[in-house]
Amino acid sequence: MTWKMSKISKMSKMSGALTPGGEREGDLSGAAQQAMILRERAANSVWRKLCRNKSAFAGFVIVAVVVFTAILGPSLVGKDPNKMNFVNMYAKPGERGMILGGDEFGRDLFARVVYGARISILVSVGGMAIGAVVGVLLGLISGFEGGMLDSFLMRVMDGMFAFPFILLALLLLTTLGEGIQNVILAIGIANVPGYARIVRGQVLFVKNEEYIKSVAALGASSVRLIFAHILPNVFSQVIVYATLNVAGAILTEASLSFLGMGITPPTASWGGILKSGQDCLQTAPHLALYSGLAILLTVLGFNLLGDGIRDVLDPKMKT
Amino acid sequence: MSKIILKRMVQLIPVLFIVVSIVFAITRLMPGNPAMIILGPQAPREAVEKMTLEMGLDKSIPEQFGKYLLGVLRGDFGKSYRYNRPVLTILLEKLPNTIYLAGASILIALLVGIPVGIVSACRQYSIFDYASMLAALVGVSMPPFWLGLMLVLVFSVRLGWLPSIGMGSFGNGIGDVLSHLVMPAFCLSTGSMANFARVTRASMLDVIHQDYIKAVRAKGIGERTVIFKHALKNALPPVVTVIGMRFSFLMGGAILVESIFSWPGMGRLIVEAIGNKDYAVIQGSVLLMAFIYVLINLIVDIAYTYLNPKITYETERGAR
Repeated sequence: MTWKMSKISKMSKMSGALTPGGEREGDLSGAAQQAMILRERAANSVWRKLCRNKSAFAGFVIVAVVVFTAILGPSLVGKDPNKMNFVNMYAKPGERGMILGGDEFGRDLFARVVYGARISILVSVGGMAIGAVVGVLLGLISGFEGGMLDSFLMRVMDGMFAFPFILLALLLLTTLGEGIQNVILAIGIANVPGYARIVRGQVLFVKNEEYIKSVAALGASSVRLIFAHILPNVFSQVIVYATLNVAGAILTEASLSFLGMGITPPTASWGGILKSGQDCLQTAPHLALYSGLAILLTVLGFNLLGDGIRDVLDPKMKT
Repeated sequence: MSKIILKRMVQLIPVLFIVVSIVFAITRLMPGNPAMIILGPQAPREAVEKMTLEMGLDKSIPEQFGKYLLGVLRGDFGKSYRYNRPVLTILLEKLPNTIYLAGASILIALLVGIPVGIVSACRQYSIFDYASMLAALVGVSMPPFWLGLMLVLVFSVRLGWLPSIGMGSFGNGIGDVLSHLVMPAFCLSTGSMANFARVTRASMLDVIHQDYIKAVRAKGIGERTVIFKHALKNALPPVVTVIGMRFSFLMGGAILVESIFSWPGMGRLIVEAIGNKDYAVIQGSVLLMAFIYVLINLIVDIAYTYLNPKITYETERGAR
């Protein structure tokens, strides 16, 4: 963009010099050009493009609401999600001052769903971050170095890919033990191959570009080449994948908790609430209904946002 | 063609070795002494030591891995302490049930997803296109276990139309089998259905905007022939690749869906084995799932090569 601006600025100066009105007019024309460039730049910014993309904007709103709920919701609800009151056991939505009703221990379902948002976002973003950092590093090294190291790393990634994602996370969690930090770690490790493969593929393409060869010929070190020149060029793909990956991580966390392997009770998690909903589907279907809707809506939000970011950053991949 | 298949098969060897290594490493790192788990916490120390020797757990890790690898090559996955039977026998009992469920799911997903994708692409920006793509996005985002519970709530608990557990028996007629299959198969198929619809639409759009399709249309050939004879064939390879990739999701989804519908397959077996700390069953079933996934991908690779003559041509030319 800087290059583009300087080029257009030079062109505007040239057009100013040719204007019969003299130097002052040429300056005005340059200023107008500059303003036009800034307007164009603002209009073409990723944010503006995302706002223009209706589904991406809808996704952003959903994600923003969920993140806001995760951060501030618990203090706004003002109820303890773990406080049992057997009088409120299986209370229907709207009964006894409980918007979404009560669970099997008479706990407020609304408070638990709101707290569940915090757990879901924490685990999914944490898992995504671990997977992204390790996967991107491995992908960069593998793609840049090539040779035996590349072959070895990619075969390990292929091996990890051979396991269904949920199964790999389940196995890792069985080894690591229960608890929120282990759920994050398990999802993070299971995420690594996805990032590594995407980044490696991009690096293989980018490292053969002329500008990378030029920087290498100028004597840039491998570390500088990788982090200052290659990484920024593969970053858009990583962002798209990461956004969609958060959606997948939310589903994985909920699945693990549903199987009784993820977040341990009494901590509120959407998958955990669904599990208790399964046991009392006949008497209290609202338990399964609302927690599932929360998962569906959040995952839908991240998917819409991820699709939108992909359309903006890489229109060729548009579906 | 045969060279490509051979090359793909050779490439599988290191992947399978790594799969076996990962499974071995993970199960060895699981907490608790397997001998103690089999005998129970009250078992005398001597008995635990004897069992440890019998299981070869006193040997070094490379020795244990070598023994395990040889066992896997011979098809010996050990013995389940809970069922007191060879793991392979248990797996061979459960695997057909999972394949049956996954096969039905793939079939439903293909029968719905691909036609929806084709129609969406042919009527781009129509109401049908927007509605189907929104439905596909919801389908991709929907947790299968939640959908399963909602289906049970509506069709079993409220309406009483369909059974909520088990897989039925052919002895009770085909209706019994189908009524048991409908909900789990549909539940497992939603993600794949949505995925196939999205990929088919994208691939078809890519193809129908190409010059040769315009040329075919300019010749005055009917739209149906253009779509089914010329466009669809060229739009299929990416869809075939996605079918292979979805199989992994289906295996993963089966773990959840089988647990909800008490379907006696591999997924439920794994969850129960993890709960019971039946390590031999965990190792065997996870390995088998990974092997199947690798095998399916090999078949998909071959199918892709068959469907895409460009690959065959370039490889053969390169080989000469």
